[in-house]
Amino acid sequence: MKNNIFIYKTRLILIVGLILSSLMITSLCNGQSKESTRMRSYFYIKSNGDRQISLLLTAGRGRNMQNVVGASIDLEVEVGDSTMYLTELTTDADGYADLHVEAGYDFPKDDEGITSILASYAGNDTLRSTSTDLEIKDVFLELSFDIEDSVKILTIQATEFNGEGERVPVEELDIDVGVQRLYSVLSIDDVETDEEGIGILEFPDDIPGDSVGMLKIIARVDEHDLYGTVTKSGSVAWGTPVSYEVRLLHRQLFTDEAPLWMIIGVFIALVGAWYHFFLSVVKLYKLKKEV
Amino acid sequence: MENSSDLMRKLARNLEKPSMQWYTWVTILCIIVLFGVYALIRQIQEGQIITGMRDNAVWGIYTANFIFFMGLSYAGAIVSCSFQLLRIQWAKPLLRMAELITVSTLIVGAPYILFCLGRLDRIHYLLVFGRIQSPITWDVIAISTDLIFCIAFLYFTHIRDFAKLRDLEGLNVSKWRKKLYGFLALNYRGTPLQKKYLHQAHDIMAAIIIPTAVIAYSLLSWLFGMSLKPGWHSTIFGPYFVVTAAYSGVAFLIIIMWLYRKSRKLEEYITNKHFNYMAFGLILLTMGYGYFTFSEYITDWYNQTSAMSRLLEKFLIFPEYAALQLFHVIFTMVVPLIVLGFPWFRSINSITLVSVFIVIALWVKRYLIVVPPLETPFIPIQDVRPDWVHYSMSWVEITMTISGMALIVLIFTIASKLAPIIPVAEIEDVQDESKPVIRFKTKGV
Repeated sequence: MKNNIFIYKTRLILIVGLILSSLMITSLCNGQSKESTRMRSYFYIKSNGDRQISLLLTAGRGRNMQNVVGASIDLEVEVGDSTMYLTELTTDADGYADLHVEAGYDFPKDDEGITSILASYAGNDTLRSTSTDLEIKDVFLELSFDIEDSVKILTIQATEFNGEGERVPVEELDIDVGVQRLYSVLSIDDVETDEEGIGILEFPDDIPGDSVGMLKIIARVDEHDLYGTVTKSGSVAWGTPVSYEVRLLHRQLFTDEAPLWMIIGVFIALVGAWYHFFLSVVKLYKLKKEV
Repeated sequence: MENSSDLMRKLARNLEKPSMQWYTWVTILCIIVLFGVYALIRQIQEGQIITGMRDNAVWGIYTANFIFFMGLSYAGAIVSCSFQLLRIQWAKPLLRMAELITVSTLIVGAPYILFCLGRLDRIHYLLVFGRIQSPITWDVIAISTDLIFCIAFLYFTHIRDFAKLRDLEGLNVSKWRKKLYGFLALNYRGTPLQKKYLHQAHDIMAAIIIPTAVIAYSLLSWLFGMSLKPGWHSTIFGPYFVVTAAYSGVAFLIIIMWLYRKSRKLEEYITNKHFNYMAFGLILLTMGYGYFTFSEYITDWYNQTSAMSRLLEKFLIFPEYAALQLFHVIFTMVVPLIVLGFPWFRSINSITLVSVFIVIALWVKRYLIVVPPLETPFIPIQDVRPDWVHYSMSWVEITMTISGMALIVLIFTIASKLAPIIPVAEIEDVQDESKPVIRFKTKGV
C-alpha cells in the first residue's frame, strides 16, 4: 500500500514537474523570440512656425535594426501630474510616424514652458514594447537685415516663452546661417546668441544670387536637446546678380538640330542611291521608246 | 538544248488557267491571312494589352519577325544581285526565286515593327517629327528605299519574260493577262539597243541594291547595338546581322528551290549541282555564323557586368532560355556542319531538311536577341508582377505570325502564276552568251 502511494506521488510529481518545465520553456522561448525595439524622436519647427514631431521605430538585434512598418504609436502629453492622450500614429513604409502641428497651437506646458510628450509602442507577438520621452520647447527666431558702412549685418534674435508666458531671450544658442542653393543649403557661418538672445553675423559680399541678387537666408538651430530643429528664413537682395542667359548648344547628336556632317552624309547617300534608281528608270524609258 | 520558245511554252503551262486545286490553295491562304487581319483589328481595338508585350518586355515576337523577315529579304537581294553582277551562270534558274524572296519578305516583314507601336494613328510622326540622328529614322528611310528598289529590280528582271509571254502563241490565259503582259513588257522587242538598255538598268539596280541591303540591315542591327542594354550593346551587331541574314536567306532559298522542284517538276533546271553549290555556300555561312556567335558570347562572358552575367545565366538555365539556346546552337552550327560537310549525309532532301531547321533556329535566335535582354535590364526589375516581367506570346501574335508566313506563300503562289519561276530569258542568255560581260579593267593588263 505504502509502495503504491509512493509510486503515485512520484508519478504526480513527475507530471507536474513536466508541465511546469514545459510552461517555463515555452515562456522562455516566447520571451527570447521577441525582438527588441527602439524609438527615436525628432522635433522640427519650420520657418512659418509649423511644428513636426517625428518618431522612428526600429526593431532587431544588435546592429541589425530594421524599420518597423505599420506600427501604432500612442502619443500622450503631460499635464501637471497626469497625462492627456493626444493621438495615435502609424509608422509609414520607412518606419517614421509624423505629427504635424500648425503654428499657434499650444501644447500644455509646465512651469518652465516645457512640453513633455510621451510616445509609446505596445509591442506585439514578435516585438517588445518601447517608449520614449520628448521634451520640447518653442524657440522663436527673428531675422533682421541691416547695412552699416557698406557692411551687411545679419541680426538673429532668439526668444522663448517662460513659465509665466513672457517672451524671454535665449542665450548661448548655436545658430547655423546658410543660403538656399538649388539642391541644398550653403553654410555661411554659425553664431551664438548673447545674454540678450542676439546673434550678429557679418554677411559676405560674394554670394551669387538670382538675376537681381536676391538670396534666401536660412537660420537654423540643429537638433537641440530642448528646442529640436528650428529654421527661420528671410529673403534679401544681398547676393551678386547672376545672368542666366541660355546659351544655345551646337548641333549635337542629342539636340533638335542634327550635326551638319550627318545631314550632309545622309543626303549624299540618299541622292546617290536614288540617282542610280532614276538612271535605271531612264534606261527603261529609252527602251520603251526604242523600236 | 531546247530553244527559248519551247522552254517558255513548257514553263508557261503552269501559268495557264488556274485549276480548282490552285483556287483551293489560294483560298486557304487567304483565310489564314484574314485571320491575321482579324487579330490585328482586335489588337487595334483593345490595345497592346491583348499581346504579350508589357512594361519591361516591350518588344516580342513582332520584332523577332521583323528582324527575321527583313533578314531574309536582304539576303535574297544580296544573293540575286551578286549572282546577276558576277554573271554566275549555274545560278540563273534560282534568280527569280531569290528576287521573290526579297520582295515578299520585305512586304510582309516591314509592317511587323509597326504592330509593336501602340498608336498607329501617330505613325506619320516618324516622318513629321523624325530626327535625322535617330537609328529609327535611318531604318525607315532605308527600308522604304530598299522596298522600292527591290520591287523595281524584280520588275526589271521580268520584262523580257513578259515580252516572251506577250508574243507566245497559243498561251491559254485570259485577255486581261495578255494585255497585262503587253503593258508590262514596255514594248520590248529584243533589239540590240533595248538589250543594252535593259542590261544596264539591271546592272545599275543590282549594284545599288547590294550596298542598300547591307546598309539597311546594318541600320536595323544598330537599333539594338546602339542602345545600352546587356545583350544588345555590341559593336559586332552590324556584320553579325548581315551574316545571319545571308545564312537564313540561303537556307530559305534552298527550301523554295526544293518546293518548286517538286511541285512544278523542274528537275531539269534545278539540279543536284544547284543544291550542292548552295550547300557549299551554306557551310561557309555556318562557319561564319558560328564564328560571330562565338565571338559575341565569349566577349560578353569574359568580362561581364552583373547584368550581363544575369542574362548569360538565363541561356544556361532550363526553365529560362536554355532549351531555345540549345536548339539554336545545335541546328545552326552542329547539325549543318555534319550533314552538309560529309558527302555521305548530303542529298537534296537532307540539305533541304537541314535548311528548314536552320531557318527555324535562326528565327529562335532573333527571339533570343529580342526578348531575354528586355527581361534583364541593368537595374534589376523590382516590385513588378512576374507576368509583367516575362514575355509570353498571345494568340494575337501567333496568329499574325502565321498569317504573315501565309502571305509570303500567297505572294509566291500568285507571282509564279503570272510569270515562270525559272527566268526563261536568263536561261536563254546562258545558251546564247549574248549578255555583255562586265569588264573589270586594270591598267597594264
